[in-house]
Formats: sequence, structure tokens, C-alpha cells
Amino acid sequence: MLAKVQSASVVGVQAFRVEVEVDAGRGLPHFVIVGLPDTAVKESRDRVKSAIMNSGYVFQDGRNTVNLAPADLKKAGPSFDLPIALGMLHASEQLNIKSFDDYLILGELALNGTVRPVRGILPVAHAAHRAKFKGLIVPEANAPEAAVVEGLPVYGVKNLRHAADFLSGQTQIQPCHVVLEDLFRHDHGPEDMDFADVKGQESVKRALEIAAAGGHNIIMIGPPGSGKSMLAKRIPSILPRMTLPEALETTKIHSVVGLLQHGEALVTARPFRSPHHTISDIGLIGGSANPSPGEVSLAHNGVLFLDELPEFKRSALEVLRQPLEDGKVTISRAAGTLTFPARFMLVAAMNPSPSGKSSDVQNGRVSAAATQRYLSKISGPLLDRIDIHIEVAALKNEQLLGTSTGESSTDIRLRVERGREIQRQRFAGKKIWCNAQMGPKQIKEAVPLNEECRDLLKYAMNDMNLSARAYDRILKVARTIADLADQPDVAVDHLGEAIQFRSLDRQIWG
Amino acid sequence: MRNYVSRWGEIDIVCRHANTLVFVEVKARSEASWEKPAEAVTKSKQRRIIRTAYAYLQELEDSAEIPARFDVVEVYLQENQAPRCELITSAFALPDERV
Repeated sequence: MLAKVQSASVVGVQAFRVEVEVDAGRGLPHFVIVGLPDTAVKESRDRVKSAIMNSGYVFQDGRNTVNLAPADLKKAGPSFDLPIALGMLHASEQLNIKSFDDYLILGELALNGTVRPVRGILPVAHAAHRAKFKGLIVPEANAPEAAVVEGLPVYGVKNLRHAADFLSGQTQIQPCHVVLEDLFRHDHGPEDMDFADVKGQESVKRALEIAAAGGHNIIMIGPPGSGKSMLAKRIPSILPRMTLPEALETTKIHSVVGLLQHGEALVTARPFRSPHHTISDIGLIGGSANPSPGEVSLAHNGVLFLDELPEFKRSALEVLRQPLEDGKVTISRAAGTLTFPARFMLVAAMNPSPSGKSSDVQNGRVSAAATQRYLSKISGPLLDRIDIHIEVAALKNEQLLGTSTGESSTDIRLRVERGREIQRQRFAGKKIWCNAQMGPKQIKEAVPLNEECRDLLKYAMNDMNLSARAYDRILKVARTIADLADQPDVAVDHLGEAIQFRSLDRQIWG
Repeated sequence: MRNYVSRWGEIDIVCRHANTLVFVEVKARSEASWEKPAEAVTKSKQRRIIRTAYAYLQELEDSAEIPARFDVVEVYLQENQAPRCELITSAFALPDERV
């Protein structure tokens, strides 16, 4: 007898429908899975057989053929275990189900019949909703993740028998329900991450606030122990709250790589990704034979923190250029071309010299040539995409021992969100939503300069030997500073503050 | 039926269990042996049995419609006692590649 079960598989962050056909025929005992399965799918035979027998059913010997259609797409992962097992039970007439067509079914089986969670449930739930399925049957631990999609009943199952009883109408399962508002209510991230913990460094905090408000990329230069990493880790706490569409996009990526916690429904806190500097190009932007998202995509709608920037491989840094420019990564492999979203805020940190201290350069302990070599690892085009350069000085003893605490992240975030709101209104109807994304034309419209400002810029360009690329950056940052001050026009003091954020242009390439 | 022989090899017992055709391989070992009898039914031995089973089925009519399985009977020989038998049902199946 033949059974046909609806299931799905994920390529990139897109789900596509897979029909699992099971034919339990007579003849010499034989069990084969066709339809371009990978190793995990092939091994499904042994899991399915054990799970069926240990759930109190009979595994019928005979000619059992499983086909995964469409046959020309590669199927990966263990998520076909449950549909195959249910198909086998139906084909061997141990289960009385009128039709499998109403439900999309996914799940990995343990040998005792328990259903284990699988990756990439959220994209599948979206696809099921679009294809107007009556419901989605998933492992119980994945149910909240799928239930985020509104208007699609999601049934979480514990084990094979649970699923079989539900399909044959012997048990009822309450559809999993999540309240989206509740998910967003407690999204402060780890409680111990607050700017109030960082002593001193007021100028750096100000720069980070500007960067967060305008979506600017930022680089911090300072000796070891000055608190660069500590500051960077707290940036998500001052970024504007995630909106639902943003959270869904980020969750899809995290779901595909299996980063979601057990039973977690939605990523509501902005991600903070901090890859080690030994990371490969593919680890950073994504790829490999079955293309999977890299760190830039995992940081989508959040922060990508690159500590010790000059220590990264030059090739790894250069591949960052496309995502920084377009907010997405396109990966081409023999299997096909995939696009992953990758809109993140780049936060970099580096030491001023290879020894870590700028004083070593001044007193000759580190040669100027060595320092130059160290700094020149960061290419001009990459630096071109970083709007704000800020120097982080080592803390003085009195600051360190003092009891004064800084401003809390909650207060800073309020100002940041107000600044973003002004930008949202300014760019309404356009494809951009923050100052960092402005092109030359939009800069001209949004940043009208008076005589006084023009003079200051002319002086700065000549005297500090700033390049043309620095010019646009200064205007964008000045716009953000004015937005934070709730000023409609950019004034001289806004511009002056923006100009001092270009220190690296002079030091390295000036 | 005992000991079906074809040009491919031989099968110790061919019998029926309910409506399933069962091909049985009998392996004997002394009780003192450290090796289990079933372990002696190697992949190549299985292949030979499967080929022989095909030959047997060909002699029947409607052979594709008959459910079938392969069993192994382990026989432990003991001195001065009756031998002890153990039946392993569905001991093996057709491999992935064609035989």
C-alpha cells in the first residue's frame, strides 16, 4: 500500500515542500530511501525501524521504498524521520488516516520513539501558512517557535504514538499559542549588561550613543584593558528595541543554524556576535557545500564585534565589504545561489600599536615601521565604511577607584530611540531608515550647510588633510548628532564633534 | 522444505510462517565456542542466501506478491545433552546495492 505525507526542507532560509511517499510492498525484505538523500536522511531507516518497533507497532518486513519528491533537490537532516515513520504505519495498515494532505509534518525520531527537535522550523511554518495548510505537526520543543506565525495551528507532539493517535483522531492536541507582546516585554537581554557598569569613558559612551542612533559603524582604538570589549558588549542594550519583522528575520537565521534555545519562540534581543580573529572567510560570511549563514548573517539586526581588527585575515575583512554595503550576502556554490540577509552594525576594536600601547611608539620601543605595518592591515575601503573612529584612553586610577556610576542603558536607549524616530520620519517612503544609509544625494537634501559650517569644513579638509571619503562620513555623523539634539539643521558644534571622529584618517592614511 | 539447492548456493530450511515465506539459515557452534553462531553468517554468506532465495522465488508463480523474510537459527551443541536452539527472526535484509 502507498502513503503520501507532506513535509518540508530548508535551503538557505527558504523552506520548500517535500512529499514523502512510502510504499510498503511484499517481497524480500528491503528498505531503501531515494530522492537525493544525504547521510542523515539515509540513516533515518534505522531510526525509523527502531522507533516503530519500540512504540509498540510492527515493522513490516518486505519491500519498503521511500521517495522524497521533488527528486532533484538535495534533502538534508533528520527531520524526515517522523513523516517516514507515519507513512510506514499507514502503508502497513496499522494506522487509519483518511488523508495526510492537511498537515505538514516534521521531526527527528529517537530510537524509543520520542520526537526530537529539529532546525529551521520558523521558515517551514511560514511556508506552511502561505500554502494554506490546516496545521503543522512539529516536535513539542519546536512548537513555540512555529507558533509565532499567526493564523497557523501548530501541534507539538511528544512521540511517534502521540503523533499517530492525533492523526487518527484518537487524541486531541491543543494548538500551541504564544502571545507576541509577552515575548517582547522581557527583552532587556542579560541583566548584567548595562552602561552603568562602565566607569568613566564618557566620550566613548557618547560616540557609541551617536553610532547607535544613526546606525553608524564604529571603531575603537585603545590600549589593552581600557574597556573596549566591555563597552562593545553593552551596545545591544542601547540600540532601539527590535520590531516584530526584525525579530522574525533574525529568528529565521538563528533557527536554520540551530541556535535557538530549547522551547525559545523568538529572538527578541538584538544579537551580539563576537567571532574570534582566526575565523575563516566562510565562517564570517557563510557558505560551505550546503550553504549556511555565517557570522554576518547571525548578527543580522544586531552587532558584529570584531575585536583585534588587524589580527583578522585580510581576506576575511575584505569579504565584509558586500554585506556592509548591501545589507545582504550572496553566496554562489555548485548547488545554487543563495542570499542571506546581513544588516548589522559593525563595531571594531584595535590597539594603537602591535605592543598595545601608543607610548611605546613615542619612546621608540616599537618601530614606526612595525606600527605602520600593523595599522595598514585594515584596508582603506574597509575603513571607508566605518563612520566613527574613537580613541579609548586607559582609565586613570581615581576613575577606577571612584564610586560614581555612569548613566544607565535604559536612559541612553530612550534618547537613541527618539533620534531614530526623527530619522524614520525624514526617510519615510524611501528605502532607508537611518542616517548611515544615506547616499550622496540624500546627504545633500538632509544636511544643508550654512556659511559658518562650510568654513569649518574647508578649514578641516585643508588643515587636517581629510579625504573626500571622510567628507560624506562627517556630514552623516553630524546629521545624527543634530538629530540627537533634536535640531532641524546641522550647526557648527554638531559638525565640529563629527570632525573629531575621523582621527584614523590622519594617523594612518593621512 | 529442507535444504533447497540451486546453482547459486543452498538454503538450509524454506518454510512458511502464517502466510510469510521464511528462509532459514542454521548455524551450529559448540557451547564452549567464544563466537556466536549468528556471527558466522557474514555479509557474503547473506548475499549467497539472498541470491538463492531469488532463484527459489523464480520457480514459484506470483513470487512478487509473497511476503518473505530471512531468519537465522543458532544451534549450541553441548556435550551429552540435547543441543539448545535460538531463533532470530528477520535477521537480515537486502543490502542497498543490487545483488
